[in-house]
Amino acid sequence: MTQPPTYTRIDTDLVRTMQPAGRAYYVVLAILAAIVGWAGYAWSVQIREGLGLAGISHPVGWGVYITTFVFWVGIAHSGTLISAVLFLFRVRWRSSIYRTAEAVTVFAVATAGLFPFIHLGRPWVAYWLMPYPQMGGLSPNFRSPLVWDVFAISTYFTVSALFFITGMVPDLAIVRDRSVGWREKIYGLLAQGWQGTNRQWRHYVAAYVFLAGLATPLVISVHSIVSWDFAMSVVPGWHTTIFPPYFVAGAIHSGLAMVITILIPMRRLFSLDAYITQHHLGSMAKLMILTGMLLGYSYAIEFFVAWYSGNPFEREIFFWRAFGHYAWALWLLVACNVGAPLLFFMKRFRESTPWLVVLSLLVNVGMFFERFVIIVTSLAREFDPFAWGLYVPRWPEISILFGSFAWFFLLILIFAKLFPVVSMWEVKELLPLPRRKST
Amino acid sequence: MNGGHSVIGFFAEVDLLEDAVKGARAAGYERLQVISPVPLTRLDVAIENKRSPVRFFTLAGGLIGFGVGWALTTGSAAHYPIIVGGKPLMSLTPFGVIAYVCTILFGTLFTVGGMLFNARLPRIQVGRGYDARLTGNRFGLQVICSSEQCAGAGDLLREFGAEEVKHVEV
Repeated sequence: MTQPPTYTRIDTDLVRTMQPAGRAYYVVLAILAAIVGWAGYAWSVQIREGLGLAGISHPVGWGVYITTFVFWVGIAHSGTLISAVLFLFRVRWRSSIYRTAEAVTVFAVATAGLFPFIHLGRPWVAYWLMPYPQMGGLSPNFRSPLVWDVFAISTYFTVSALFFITGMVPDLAIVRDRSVGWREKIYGLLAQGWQGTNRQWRHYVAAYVFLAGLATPLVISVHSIVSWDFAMSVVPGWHTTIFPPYFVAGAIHSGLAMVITILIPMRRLFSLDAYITQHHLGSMAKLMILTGMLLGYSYAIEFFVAWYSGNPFEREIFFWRAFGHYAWALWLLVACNVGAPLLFFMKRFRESTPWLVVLSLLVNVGMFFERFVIIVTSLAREFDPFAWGLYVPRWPEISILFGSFAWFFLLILIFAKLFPVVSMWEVKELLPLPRRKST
Repeated sequence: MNGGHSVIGFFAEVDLLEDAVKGARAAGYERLQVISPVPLTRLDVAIENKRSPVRFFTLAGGLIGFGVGWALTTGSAAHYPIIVGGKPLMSLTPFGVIAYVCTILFGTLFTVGGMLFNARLPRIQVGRGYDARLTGNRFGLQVICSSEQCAGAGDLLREFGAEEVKHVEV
């Protein structure tokens, strides 16, 4: 990054982002809240009328809700990659962007976590998924990947939230020290009495390394476990060993795209050009070339193995994906996820803010449709032609899908005004320690 | 650190702070505390160079989580048996997934708990004599001393380049 000259300037620039917002901020907030409200209404109607109001039915029992769940879990992954994995590898460019990436992780998992509840016909018995002693002789079946998923996602949320909050404590102390009145009291509580003593730093730095070490395997395992929701079944198009690495690559791909989508307007709104530079965005674009090519390889291998296996059901489903009713979605996702990021090989696309926005949005669209194609086409075209059928999402599903985006961006907007969006203490650490000029 | 006295010296440069730490130690002051806006754990000013015991909390949490994961899964299988011909009641591979996840979960909870316990956090209020400049752009050296020693400590900190010296009751 272009190094800001002093500690004082870093504090001033980054605390400034938390100044009271203008009218435009509240207008956007109100629009997002209205969309969330509409989605809440749609869900309430679905609960009242029953799950039959949604388009999911036989044979496609998993539709937009599960697609959106997998999409948001995927979005979460880049945050952990940037904050934990790149921290362990001592990648310096992560310091300016990891706080926002972590926020994306926490809010994306929080959004994803809503969908299993929304997908339930009777959400009030969701606690049946959790193990607890009860007289009915009913307990979660720990052999089921769906129960692994409950554990994986709730653990991922807990670990990400703790990593996020812990990383923010020294910065909250800075904000506390520059606030007055009720803000000082609230940030004082959130800062937990942090003073920056050598004792505090010693244990904090040690804990941070261990938290990063514990979060790192989650980058691999969480989406692997999500992929087993599908791969552990015998459904054609799902029952494949390539799913875990394929899902992890896709998750990081979509997460990087979402972080770019959020960082660019944030940099503009808060004048953070000195902290979030083209180098940061370009570095993420380079990572997206890698993840995009991994995805391209995975797509090709899926088709190859379906053909090479000689299994007629596998061959049928992949032929139908490419040329059947939902073929438009397959070719769209290939173009968006594999084709579009290839443009980042050219420096002028990597270094152009409008192109970064456009291409990262395309990847987000492509990744949603990737999950849609995997989930819907396999269920729509299972073994028995008598049971084949099509799926079209209905208004509650579309409303809740858009509501999830509004909910996510609402949380991001609130975070951006209440908390430092760039880690102040880690950006300070990038600067050489102030020493006498003579030495 | 209750009922005593202390002196805090404010330094703009970290090498002055390092010299002051060495000077204070040489002068016989043993109870020193460095306060800084960034971690200085790799410098000589790190008063306590011992490795943080947080790692033992992480290890304990991981081991407990691993045990909890196995206990939960095998216990459930024993209490609510799903008998399927030819299939073992205790399916180690799927239960291993839960044990792994619980290892990470408990390891994380214990790491955060260990950090808070060892760093004496959370606190409702910052300590007396705390100065907002020390999370901003200044480095502080706090010398805990008796009331007689404190005058000398203040002079010593100034001698080593402290911009300002504050006397604080702790």
